[in-house]
Order: sequence, then structure tokens, then C-alpha cells
Amino acid sequence: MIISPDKDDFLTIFHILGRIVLGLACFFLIPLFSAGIFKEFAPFYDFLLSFLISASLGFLMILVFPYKKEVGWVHSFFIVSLSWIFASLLGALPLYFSSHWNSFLDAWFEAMSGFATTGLSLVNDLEHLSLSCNLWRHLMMFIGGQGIILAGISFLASAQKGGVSLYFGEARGEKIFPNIIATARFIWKVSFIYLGMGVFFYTFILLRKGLSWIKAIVHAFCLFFASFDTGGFSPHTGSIFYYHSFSLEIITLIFMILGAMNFNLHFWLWRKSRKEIFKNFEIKVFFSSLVILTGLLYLSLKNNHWFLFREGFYQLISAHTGCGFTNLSFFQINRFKESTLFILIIAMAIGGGLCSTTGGIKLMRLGLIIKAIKGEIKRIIMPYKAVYKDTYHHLEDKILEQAPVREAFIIISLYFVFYLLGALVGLFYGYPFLSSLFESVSATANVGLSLGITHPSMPALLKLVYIFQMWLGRLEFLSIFIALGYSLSLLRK
Amino acid sequence: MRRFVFFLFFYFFLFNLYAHNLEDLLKNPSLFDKKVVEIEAEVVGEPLKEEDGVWINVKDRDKDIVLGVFIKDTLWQRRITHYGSYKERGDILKIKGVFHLFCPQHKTTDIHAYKIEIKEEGFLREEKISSFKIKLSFILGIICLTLALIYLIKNRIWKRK
Repeated sequence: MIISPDKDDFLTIFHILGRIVLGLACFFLIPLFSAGIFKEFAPFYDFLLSFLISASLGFLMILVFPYKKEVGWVHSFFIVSLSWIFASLLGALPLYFSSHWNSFLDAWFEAMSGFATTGLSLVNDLEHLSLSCNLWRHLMMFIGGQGIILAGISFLASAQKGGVSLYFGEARGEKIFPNIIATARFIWKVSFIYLGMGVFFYTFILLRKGLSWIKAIVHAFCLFFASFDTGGFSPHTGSIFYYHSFSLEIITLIFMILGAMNFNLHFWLWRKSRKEIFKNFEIKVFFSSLVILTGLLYLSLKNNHWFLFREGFYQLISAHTGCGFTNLSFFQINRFKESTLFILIIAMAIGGGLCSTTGGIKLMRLGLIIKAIKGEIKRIIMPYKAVYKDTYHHLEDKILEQAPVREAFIIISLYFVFYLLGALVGLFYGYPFLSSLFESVSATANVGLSLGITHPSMPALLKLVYIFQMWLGRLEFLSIFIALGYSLSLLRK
Repeated sequence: MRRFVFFLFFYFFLFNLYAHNLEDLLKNPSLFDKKVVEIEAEVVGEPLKEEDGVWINVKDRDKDIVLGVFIKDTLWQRRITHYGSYKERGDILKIKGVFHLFCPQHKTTDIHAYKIEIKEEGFLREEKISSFKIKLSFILGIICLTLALIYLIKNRIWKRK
């Protein structure tokens, strides 16, 4: 028997969504005031309109849909799935008003890419986009990277009961504290401490490069949001290539890796044991895959070590952490050999740690599957009555059990299915298979590297497919599928 | 004499290729690698300091393609007055220099300029504020305030209950 939501459930869902929309409207105030400070008057009105539309919608939803039930698992999947749609549609408003995007669909694509921390972009003439609009593009990555719901939970004292289901619904595999509000607040605390550090380092480098104070600070915020939240947008068309700074490339690499690390690991390193970094299972999987992929990259590029770093390793880390920064133009990435592109596809498909801002199948799941396969082979080799138990260390020693392996297998299978489905749609539109696969993996794993398929002139259906993939990939399928399942159950009534 | 003319002709085609825009240049970078190129593009962003010179970024006039141009201190005379941004259309430059697919000095793709000419001077872009947006903001402001007020009153009644 499937639980089917009733009218009261939907009233509660839309009431909570109204609150989330109201919260999102508040975020518009940041670029709104920035536009005022930078004397960018046209964007000021764009943000004012977006703020007023969102706030009105939020109030309207709260008033029209009364809060009827306590938030439970049934509601949370709908709330999580729909909140990302609402956020991206509302987030697209100032972008569309700026006229730098050809259509509302393009602006929606950009907003979904921002909130899902993907970094694929359909902007026209980025070099002449206002600073405030650029700040909003990057701020969307910060909000989305931390989690739209997480932002809500942090400010709701009454969120404890429903908060747990909402927290897990937003594709976060682990809690840091038993209390969900404490967990949410710790994630914000970590992020704000890194924000301070990141803005300091980036500003320092950019000032040395000769940028003015205002520009250096705004760019520093943008670069931090894009690197730590593994988003990948950049204030300029040339991404990191624009700055011509080796030290900036190194700092972005550090923040990309920090962003790809499990927040739980940050907690352990800060509060408990620094030795955890040497024992942690996810870190071991990350470095193993990095060493293997770097070796393959070296064989594929066969060039000097500088070439390997600037053209290969940077792209590899960017792909592996799901950031999408690049120090190359897409013409140059397009010139990569098929083997190099395939290595980048593998790195993008894997992604970073659980409970981090990255997308992809995640290191923990990959590690668990490899361990399970190894265990299965050992079990066959060992005597019939022998008992074999495998362990791994993630914050504490754990025995490899069936349930997490099964869950990992399901999620990995779903990722692969959607990587291929997206590639098939690209293929249908006449793009080469490898390029289509590259773009599809980049969208689903929320990476943002592109071979040029993602362009304002690409077919509308492909844009919609990538929006869907980014949404699915960010929420790791289950929230959306369960919400769809509940919706279908209504038809059976 | 014939040999000399042939040599000149050969030299011109082999070592000096003129890509008129960045798209041509970056679509076939191997063709232009380590050769003298001449391009016309808009200067965007800001000049970025380097040890012995300055970086500028130039954008193709029609497409969103950007490339870095390195200018030595000796050539850099701060003649560029407009850099493309939200508020300005940058100067259109005619740049002659050596294109490197992988520059041995900077370990990146760039052009080392040895001649820069301002083809078209940039200008301040006029900001157009739609009167419709101003009116709509006013109307939406009233709607939003009314809804907020209803919400506050309803919330107070609900709390009293």
C-alpha cells in the first residue's frame, strides 16, 4: 500500500514553500543594495522587481495555504523538490530582466545551474554584465551549495521535527550533530569561516594584480562562492584564464578541494582529531582516484610538466571536485584527445564527498561498491564456511553492510542511466557522442565544464533536458522520484 | 632577385598569418602557433600587472571569446582609456604580436604584443531605465506591503487564539 497525500498535506507543502520563497526573497536584498552602492540603476530596479514579486508570492502562499499538519517525510520530498524549482524560477527573474539572456528559458537554465552549483552558462556578453548581476549569479551558487532547505532550517526554531526529513531530502547523507538545527548552523559556520579566509586571499591576489578595491572584493566573493561551493561560474568569460595568475589558480584548487570535502570531516578536523584526514575512507578514495587519473592524464597528454599542470591537472581537479573552473577556452578543451576527455568524464562522474557541495556519484559510494566487489571475490575464494567481514574508516571504524552498498548501487545506477540518457538526447541533435556524454555528465554531476554544446543557440529541448538533469543530480534523484511517486498515487485514487 | 622574392613570399605565408578575429585564431590555434598575428578586438576588464609587463584581455567583437594579450613595460604607455565593462564599451584595439598556443614564458595561451593601435575609442554606455519597470515596482510594492500587513494581522490573531 502506498501512502497518498491528501488536501491537507498539499496545503502544508505550499505553506512551507511560501516561507521558503519569502526567505529567498530576502537574498535579493544583497544584490539590490550592491546595485545601489555600485550606482547600477537599471539592475537596481531589476532586483527590486524580483524581490517584490518573490515576497508577494511568498506572503500570498502563506496566506492562501494554511499550515495544517506537522511536516513529515511525505511533505519533505515535495518541499525539497519544488523549492528548487521555485528558487530557480524566481532566481531567473533579475537575469531575464537584464537582457543578457536570450529568453526566460535561458535565464532559468542559468539560475538552475547556479543553485545546483553546476556552472554551465548561457549568458551573452558576460564582459558587459553588471557587477550586481554577477554577484547574484555567484550568490545563487552559495545558497544552492549550502542547500536552500538548509538555509531555511537554520532560521526556523520549530524546524526540529520536520527538519530531519527536509535535511536528508536535500541529498545530504549524514548529520553532524544529533540536533538538525545545530548541524545546519555548523555547516553555515564552517562556510562563513572559509568565506572570510577565501575573500582575504582572493582580494590580496587580485589587489596585487592591479584591480581596484571594490572590484577585487566583489571578484573575491564571486570566486570564493564559485570555488568553495564548487559552482564554477566566473565573473569573466575566460573563467580563471582571465586573471593570468598562477597563485590564483593554486588558491582556487585549495578551495575546490575544501568544498569537495565532507562537512562531517571538516567537523572532525576542527573539533576532534586531525589524524582523521589520514585514515578517512573518502579521502583515501579521492587520492587513489586522483593518482590513477593523473597517471592516465600524463600518458594521454605526454607533454612537459607545466603543460600537464595548467592544461591537464587543473581541469582534472576542477572536474573531480565538480567545480567547473577552467584556465582554458572551450576551443582548447575541444582540442583535447578523446582519451583526455574520457579521463575528465570519469572524474566528473565520480565527484567529491558525501555531505559536501559537489555532485556526482560521490567518493563514499564508489569506495563502498569497490569494497563490496572485492569482498564478493574474497568470499568466493575463501572456504565455504569462512565468515568474511570487511571494514572501512569514516569518522569511526565501520563494518561494510548490505544496506549502504545497496543504496550506493541504486544511486550509482541512476547516475549512469541519466548520464547516458542526456548523452543520447545530445546525440539525437547531431552532436558527437563523446561531446554529448561530456556535457551530459557535466550537467548531471553539477560540474560545469563544457565542450561548447551549452550555448545560447542550442536547442530548447536540450536546455530543458540539462535543467532536469541538473535538478535531478543536485537532489540525487530520490526526493524527486518519491515526490513523483506520491503524485502518481493521487491518480490511482 | 627571384630567389629573394620567393623567400619573402615564403616567409610571409609561413611565419606571418593574419587572423582578423579571435574565433579564427582559436579555432585553428596550431596553424597560428608561434606566428605573427594581427587581430582586432575590444579590450575588457582591467589591466593586470605582471613582473615585466601588463596583461590585457581582449574580446571578439561579435562573439564571447576572450584571449589574454601580454604587453611589455616598454610598449605599455597607458593609452587605453576605456576597458569594456557594464558602464563602458572598451577601446577597439588592433594588435600585432606573436601568438603562443602554449607560451614558454607564461605557460598559457597568449599573444605577446609588439604593436598596439587604438582603432576605435570606447565610450561610456548609457543606462536605460525602463519607466514601465519603475511603475511596476511601485504597484508591486503596494501589493507586497498590503500582503505583509494582512499576514502580520492574521499572525497576531492566530497567536491570541
